[in-house]
Amino acid sequence: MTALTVNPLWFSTRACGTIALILLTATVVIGIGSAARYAPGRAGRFEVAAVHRNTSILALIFLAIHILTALADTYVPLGWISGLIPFFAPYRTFWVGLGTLAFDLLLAVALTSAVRLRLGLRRWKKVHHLAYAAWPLAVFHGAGTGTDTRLGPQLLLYAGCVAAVIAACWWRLYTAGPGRIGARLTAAVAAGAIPVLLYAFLTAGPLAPGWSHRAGAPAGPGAIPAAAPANGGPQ
Amino acid sequence: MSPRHVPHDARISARDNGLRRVRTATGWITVAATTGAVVLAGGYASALPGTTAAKTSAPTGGSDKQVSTPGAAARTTSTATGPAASATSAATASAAAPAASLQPPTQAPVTTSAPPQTTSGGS
Repeated sequence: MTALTVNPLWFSTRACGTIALILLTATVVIGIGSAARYAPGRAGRFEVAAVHRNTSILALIFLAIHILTALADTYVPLGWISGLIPFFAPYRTFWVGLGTLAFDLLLAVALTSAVRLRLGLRRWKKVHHLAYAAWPLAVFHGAGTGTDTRLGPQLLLYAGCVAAVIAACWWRLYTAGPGRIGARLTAAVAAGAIPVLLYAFLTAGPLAPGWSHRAGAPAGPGAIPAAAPANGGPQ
Repeated sequence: MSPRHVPHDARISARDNGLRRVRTATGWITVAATTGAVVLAGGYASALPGTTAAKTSAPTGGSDKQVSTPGAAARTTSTATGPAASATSAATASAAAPAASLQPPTQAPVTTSAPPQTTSGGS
Protein backbone atom coordinates (compact mmCIF):
# COMPACT_ATOMS: atom_id res chain seq x y z
CA MET A 1 0.00 0.00 0.00
CA THR A 2 1.49 3.34 -0.94
CA ALA A 3 1.58 6.42 1.25
CA LEU A 4 -0.90 8.11 -1.05
CA THR A 5 -3.59 5.52 -0.51
CA VAL A 6 -3.03 5.36 3.25
CA ASN A 7 -3.80 9.02 3.79
CA PRO A 8 -5.15 10.60 0.61
CA LEU A 9 -6.52 13.67 2.41
CA TRP A 10 -3.09 14.66 3.71
CA PHE A 11 -1.53 14.58 0.27
CA SER A 12 -4.60 16.05 -1.47
CA THR A 13 -4.35 19.06 0.83
CA ARG A 14 -0.71 19.57 -0.07
CA ALA A 15 -1.10 19.01 -3.80
CA CYS A 16 -4.24 21.14 -4.17
CA GLY A 17 -2.67 23.92 -2.11
CA THR A 18 0.38 23.99 -4.36
CA ILE A 19 -1.74 23.92 -7.53
CA ALA A 20 -3.95 26.68 -6.11
CA LEU A 21 -0.82 28.79 -5.51
CA ILE A 22 0.37 28.18 -9.08
CA LEU A 23 -3.05 29.07 -10.48
CA LEU A 24 -3.23 32.15 -8.25
CA THR A 25 0.20 33.18 -9.52
CA ALA A 26 -0.98 32.69 -13.11
CA THR A 27 -4.12 34.69 -12.35
CA VAL A 28 -2.09 37.56 -10.90
CA VAL A 29 0.34 37.55 -13.83
CA ILE A 30 -2.46 37.45 -16.43
CA GLY A 31 -4.32 40.11 -14.45
CA ILE A 32 -1.29 42.39 -14.53
CA GLY A 33 -1.03 41.81 -18.28
CA SER A 34 -4.73 42.45 -18.71
CA ALA A 35 -4.49 45.69 -16.75
CA ALA A 36 -1.70 46.78 -19.06
CA ARG A 37 -3.95 45.96 -22.05
CA TYR A 38 -1.56 43.28 -23.21
CA ALA A 39 -2.77 40.72 -25.74
CA PRO A 40 -0.40 38.17 -27.27
CA GLY A 41 -0.42 37.70 -31.05
CA ARG A 42 -3.83 37.82 -32.66
CA ALA A 43 -5.66 37.27 -29.37
CA GLY A 44 -8.12 39.93 -28.34
CA ARG A 45 -7.96 41.69 -25.02
CA PHE A 46 -11.27 40.11 -24.03
CA GLU A 47 -9.61 36.73 -24.42
CA VAL A 48 -6.90 37.65 -21.93
CA ALA A 49 -9.58 38.89 -19.52
CA ALA A 50 -11.60 35.69 -20.00
CA VAL A 51 -8.59 33.45 -19.34
CA HIS A 52 -7.80 35.57 -16.27
CA ARG A 53 -11.35 35.04 -14.97
CA ASN A 54 -11.39 31.30 -15.74
CA THR A 55 -7.98 30.77 -14.14
CA SER A 56 -9.11 32.58 -11.01
CA ILE A 57 -12.24 30.41 -10.79
CA LEU A 58 -10.09 27.30 -11.18
CA ALA A 59 -7.75 28.59 -8.46
CA LEU A 60 -10.72 29.05 -6.15
CA ILE A 61 -11.92 25.51 -6.89
CA PHE A 62 -8.53 24.05 -5.99
CA LEU A 63 -8.41 26.32 -2.96
CA ALA A 64 -11.79 24.99 -1.86
CA ILE A 65 -10.55 21.39 -2.23
CA HIS A 66 -7.38 22.36 -0.31
CA ILE A 67 -9.42 23.77 2.57
CA LEU A 68 -12.04 21.03 2.63
CA THR A 69 -9.48 18.23 2.65
CA ALA A 70 -7.48 20.03 5.36
CA LEU A 71 -10.61 20.33 7.49
CA ALA A 72 -11.64 16.74 6.82
CA ASP A 73 -8.20 15.33 7.69
CA THR A 74 -8.42 14.34 11.33
CA TYR A 75 -4.69 14.62 12.13
CA VAL A 76 -5.18 18.23 13.18
CA PRO A 77 -8.60 19.36 14.43
CA LEU A 78 -8.58 22.65 12.53
CA GLY A 79 -12.30 23.23 12.90
CA TRP A 80 -14.59 24.80 10.34
CA ILE A 81 -14.30 28.23 11.93
CA SER A 82 -10.55 28.38 11.25
CA GLY A 83 -11.33 27.92 7.57
CA LEU A 84 -13.02 31.31 7.52
CA ILE A 85 -11.69 33.30 10.48
CA PRO A 86 -7.91 33.82 10.52
CA PHE A 87 -5.63 32.84 13.42
CA PHE A 88 -8.07 30.39 15.05
CA ALA A 89 -6.36 27.17 14.00
CA PRO A 90 -4.70 25.15 16.77
CA TYR A 91 -2.04 23.94 14.31
CA ARG A 92 0.64 26.48 13.24
CA THR A 93 -1.80 29.23 14.12
CA PHE A 94 -0.03 32.15 12.48
CA TRP A 95 0.89 30.37 9.25
CA VAL A 96 -2.49 28.71 8.77
CA GLY A 97 -4.02 32.10 9.62
CA LEU A 98 -2.16 33.71 6.73
CA GLY A 99 -3.77 31.19 4.41
CA THR A 100 -7.21 31.87 5.86
CA LEU A 101 -6.63 35.59 5.43
CA ALA A 102 -5.58 35.10 1.81
CA PHE A 103 -8.69 32.98 1.22
CA ASP A 104 -10.93 35.67 2.75
CA LEU A 105 -9.37 38.34 0.54
CA LEU A 106 -9.80 36.19 -2.57
CA LEU A 107 -13.38 35.46 -1.57
CA ALA A 108 -14.02 39.21 -1.32
CA VAL A 109 -12.43 39.71 -4.74
CA ALA A 110 -14.51 36.90 -6.26
CA LEU A 111 -17.79 38.05 -4.72
CA THR A 112 -17.32 41.66 -5.72
CA SER A 113 -16.35 40.56 -9.22
CA ALA A 114 -19.64 38.68 -9.45
CA VAL A 115 -21.57 41.90 -8.71
CA ARG A 116 -19.17 44.21 -10.49
CA LEU A 117 -21.84 45.96 -12.58
CA ARG A 118 -23.90 46.79 -9.51
CA LEU A 119 -20.90 47.80 -7.43
CA GLY A 120 -19.41 50.24 -9.87
CA LEU A 121 -16.04 50.02 -11.55
CA ARG A 122 -14.15 52.23 -9.10
CA ARG A 123 -15.28 50.38 -5.97
CA TRP A 124 -14.79 47.01 -7.62
CA LYS A 125 -11.25 47.95 -8.63
CA LYS A 126 -10.36 48.97 -5.09
CA VAL A 127 -11.49 45.61 -3.77
CA HIS A 128 -9.87 43.83 -6.70
CA HIS A 129 -6.47 45.16 -5.68
CA LEU A 130 -6.77 42.96 -2.57
CA ALA A 131 -5.66 40.10 -4.83
CA TYR A 132 -2.19 41.68 -4.77
CA ALA A 133 -2.22 41.31 -0.98
CA ALA A 134 -3.63 37.79 -1.09
CA TRP A 135 -0.83 36.45 -3.25
CA PRO A 136 2.14 37.09 -0.88
CA LEU A 137 0.01 35.89 2.03
CA ALA A 138 -0.57 32.65 0.13
CA VAL A 139 3.15 32.29 -0.60
CA PHE A 140 4.14 32.80 3.04
CA HIS A 141 1.32 30.50 4.15
CA GLY A 142 2.64 27.76 1.89
CA ALA A 143 6.24 28.26 2.94
CA GLY A 144 5.44 28.50 6.65
CA THR A 145 2.82 25.78 6.97
CA GLY A 146 3.90 23.19 4.46
CA THR A 147 6.32 20.60 5.75
CA ASP A 148 7.29 20.12 2.12
CA THR A 149 9.06 23.50 1.99
CA ARG A 150 12.41 21.76 2.52
CA LEU A 151 12.04 19.84 -0.73
CA GLY A 152 14.20 21.23 -3.52
CA PRO A 153 11.50 21.11 -6.23
CA GLN A 154 9.07 22.85 -3.89
CA LEU A 155 11.56 25.65 -3.29
CA LEU A 156 12.07 25.95 -7.04
CA LEU A 157 8.32 26.16 -7.47
CA TYR A 158 8.07 28.98 -4.92
CA ALA A 159 10.97 30.73 -6.62
CA GLY A 160 9.24 30.40 -9.99
CA CYS A 161 5.98 31.82 -8.65
CA VAL A 162 7.76 34.77 -7.04
CA ALA A 163 9.89 35.42 -10.13
CA ALA A 164 6.82 35.37 -12.40
CA VAL A 165 4.89 37.90 -10.34
CA ILE A 166 7.90 40.15 -9.73
CA ALA A 167 8.75 40.13 -13.45
CA ALA A 168 5.15 40.98 -14.33
CA CYS A 169 5.15 43.81 -11.77
CA TRP A 170 8.40 45.28 -13.09
CA TRP A 171 7.19 44.96 -16.68
CA ARG A 172 3.95 46.73 -15.73
CA LEU A 173 5.90 49.49 -14.00
CA TYR A 174 8.19 49.81 -17.02
CA THR A 175 5.37 50.08 -19.53
CA ALA A 176 3.03 52.21 -17.40
CA GLY A 177 4.49 55.52 -18.45
CA PRO A 178 4.72 58.63 -16.31
CA GLY A 179 2.35 59.57 -13.52
CA ARG A 180 1.12 58.03 -10.28
CA ILE A 181 4.61 58.12 -8.82
CA GLY A 182 3.45 57.19 -5.33
CA ALA A 183 1.64 54.04 -6.41
CA ARG A 184 4.47 53.00 -8.69
CA LEU A 185 7.06 53.55 -5.99
CA THR A 186 5.03 51.48 -3.53
CA ALA A 187 4.65 48.70 -6.08
CA ALA A 188 8.38 48.80 -6.87
CA VAL A 189 9.35 48.62 -3.20
CA ALA A 190 6.88 45.78 -2.55
CA ALA A 191 8.09 43.90 -5.63
CA GLY A 192 11.67 44.22 -4.44
CA ALA A 193 10.95 43.46 -0.80
CA ILE A 194 8.90 40.28 -1.19
CA PRO A 195 11.70 38.04 -2.56
CA VAL A 196 14.17 39.42 0.00
CA LEU A 197 11.72 38.83 2.85
CA LEU A 198 10.88 35.36 1.57
CA TYR A 199 14.55 34.42 1.31
CA ALA A 200 15.28 35.71 4.81
CA PHE A 201 12.23 33.93 6.17
CA LEU A 202 13.08 30.63 4.50
CA THR A 203 16.66 30.62 5.76
CA ALA A 204 15.71 31.58 9.30
CA GLY A 205 12.48 29.61 9.41
CA PRO A 206 11.46 26.49 7.47
CA LEU A 207 14.99 25.65 6.30
CA ALA A 208 16.48 26.04 9.79
CA PRO A 209 16.33 23.21 12.34
CA GLY A 210 13.37 23.05 14.72
CA TRP A 211 10.96 24.94 12.50
CA SER A 212 8.10 22.52 13.11
CA HIS A 213 8.23 23.22 16.85
CA ARG A 214 8.67 26.98 16.42
CA ALA A 215 5.82 27.17 13.90
CA GLY A 216 3.40 25.77 16.43
CA ALA A 217 3.02 22.22 15.18
CA PRO A 218 2.01 19.60 17.74
CA ALA A 219 4.89 17.51 19.08
CA GLY A 220 3.02 14.24 18.81
CA PRO A 221 -0.25 12.47 19.36
CA GLY A 222 -0.38 13.48 22.97
CA ALA A 223 -0.08 17.15 22.06
CA ILE A 224 -3.54 17.23 20.57
CA PRO A 225 -5.78 15.05 22.71
CA ALA A 226 -8.82 15.79 20.56
CA ALA A 227 -7.09 14.43 17.48
CA ALA A 228 -5.94 11.17 18.97
CA PRO A 229 -9.25 9.30 19.11
CA ALA A 230 -10.17 10.15 15.55
CA ASN A 231 -6.77 9.13 14.29
CA GLY A 232 -6.65 5.83 16.02
CA GLY A 233 -8.53 3.98 13.34
CA PRO A 234 -7.63 3.55 9.75
CA GLN A 235 -8.74 6.23 7.35
CA MET B 1 -8.07 48.59 -41.19
CA SER B 2 -9.27 49.68 -37.78
CA PRO B 3 -11.73 47.49 -35.82
CA ARG B 4 -14.51 50.00 -36.47
CA HIS B 5 -14.30 49.38 -40.20
CA VAL B 6 -14.24 45.59 -39.95
CA PRO B 7 -17.47 44.11 -41.34
CA HIS B 8 -20.02 42.91 -38.80
CA ASP B 9 -19.74 39.24 -39.78
CA ALA B 10 -15.96 39.34 -39.54
CA ARG B 11 -16.17 40.77 -36.04
CA ILE B 12 -18.60 38.07 -34.98
CA SER B 13 -16.34 35.45 -36.49
CA ALA B 14 -13.30 36.90 -34.72
CA ARG B 15 -15.18 36.90 -31.43
CA ASP B 16 -16.30 33.30 -31.93
CA ASN B 17 -12.74 32.30 -32.68
CA GLY B 18 -11.59 34.14 -29.58
CA LEU B 19 -14.15 32.43 -27.38
CA ARG B 20 -13.13 29.08 -28.84
CA ARG B 21 -9.50 29.83 -28.02
CA VAL B 22 -10.49 30.78 -24.49
CA ARG B 23 -12.41 27.52 -24.06
CA THR B 24 -9.47 25.52 -25.39
CA ALA B 25 -6.99 27.34 -23.16
CA THR B 26 -9.22 26.88 -20.12
CA GLY B 27 -9.60 23.18 -20.90
CA TRP B 28 -5.85 22.72 -21.15
CA ILE B 29 -5.25 24.67 -17.94
CA THR B 30 -7.82 22.51 -16.14
CA VAL B 31 -6.28 19.29 -17.43
CA ALA B 32 -2.78 20.51 -16.54
CA ALA B 33 -3.86 21.56 -13.05
CA THR B 34 -5.62 18.26 -12.36
CA THR B 35 -2.71 16.23 -13.69
CA GLY B 36 -0.32 18.42 -11.73
CA ALA B 37 -2.28 17.82 -8.54
CA VAL B 38 -2.13 14.05 -9.00
CA VAL B 39 1.58 14.13 -9.86
CA LEU B 40 2.35 16.41 -6.92
CA ALA B 41 0.40 14.22 -4.51
CA GLY B 42 2.39 11.22 -5.69
CA GLY B 43 5.61 13.18 -5.49
CA TYR B 44 4.93 14.34 -1.95
CA ALA B 45 4.00 10.80 -0.92
CA SER B 46 7.31 9.43 -2.13
CA ALA B 47 9.63 12.34 -1.34
CA LEU B 48 8.64 13.44 2.13
CA PRO B 49 10.38 12.09 5.22
CA GLY B 50 8.62 9.30 7.01
CA THR B 51 7.37 7.65 3.88
CA THR B 52 9.11 4.35 4.55
CA ALA B 53 6.44 1.80 5.19
CA ALA B 54 6.69 0.29 8.66
CA LYS B 55 4.11 -2.26 9.60
CA THR B 56 2.45 -1.74 12.95
CA SER B 57 -0.52 -3.48 14.39
CA ALA B 58 -3.53 -1.32 15.07
CA PRO B 59 -4.97 -2.16 18.46
CA THR B 60 -8.40 -0.82 17.63
CA GLY B 61 -9.49 -3.14 14.91
CA GLY B 62 -6.68 -5.62 14.81
CA SER B 63 -5.90 -4.73 11.23
CA ASP B 64 -2.42 -3.76 10.15
CA LYS B 65 -1.68 -0.23 9.04
CA GLN B 66 1.28 1.13 7.16
CA VAL B 67 2.99 4.12 8.72
CA SER B 68 3.76 6.04 5.63
CA THR B 69 2.88 9.70 6.01
CA PRO B 70 4.27 12.29 8.35
CA GLY B 71 0.80 12.63 9.77
CA ALA B 72 0.37 8.93 10.18
CA ALA B 73 3.87 8.59 11.60
CA ALA B 74 3.00 11.15 14.24
CA ARG B 75 -0.16 9.29 15.11
CA THR B 76 1.20 5.80 15.49
CA THR B 77 3.99 4.30 17.53
CA SER B 78 7.50 3.76 16.35
CA THR B 79 9.40 0.52 16.75
CA ALA B 80 12.35 0.25 19.15
CA THR B 81 14.56 -2.44 20.61
CA GLY B 82 15.99 -3.18 24.01
CA PRO B 83 14.57 -2.72 27.51
CA ALA B 84 13.60 0.82 26.82
CA ALA B 85 11.49 -0.45 23.98
CA SER B 86 9.22 -2.40 26.28
CA ALA B 87 8.64 0.67 28.40
CA THR B 88 8.06 2.70 25.27
CA SER B 89 5.75 0.07 23.90
CA ALA B 90 3.70 0.04 27.07
CA ALA B 91 3.41 3.79 27.08
CA THR B 92 2.62 4.06 23.41
CA ALA B 93 0.22 1.16 23.45
CA SER B 94 -1.91 3.02 25.93
CA ALA B 95 -1.61 6.12 23.81
CA ALA B 96 -2.85 4.24 20.77
CA ALA B 97 -5.68 2.60 22.64
CA PRO B 98 -9.30 3.19 21.62
CA ALA B 99 -10.83 6.56 22.27
CA ALA B 100 -12.83 5.42 25.27
CA SER B 101 -9.76 4.27 27.17
CA LEU B 102 -7.60 7.34 26.56
CA GLN B 103 -6.35 8.70 29.85
CA PRO B 104 -3.91 11.46 30.69
CA PRO B 105 -0.55 10.19 32.00
CA THR B 106 -0.49 9.70 35.74
CA GLN B 107 3.17 10.66 36.11
CA ALA B 108 5.97 12.18 34.13
CA PRO B 109 8.50 9.86 32.45
CA VAL B 110 11.36 8.84 34.74
CA THR B 111 14.89 7.77 33.95
CA THR B 112 15.65 4.06 33.99
CA SER B 113 18.61 2.30 35.56
CA ALA B 114 18.67 -0.42 32.89
CA PRO B 115 21.80 -0.32 30.73
CA PRO B 116 21.35 0.59 27.10
CA GLN B 117 21.19 -2.43 24.86
CA THR B 118 21.40 -2.65 21.11
CA THR B 119 20.28 -5.62 19.11
CA SER B 120 22.25 -5.88 15.92
CA GLY B 121 20.91 -7.46 12.77
CA GLY B 122 24.31 -8.97 11.91
CA SER B 123 25.18 -12.60 12.75
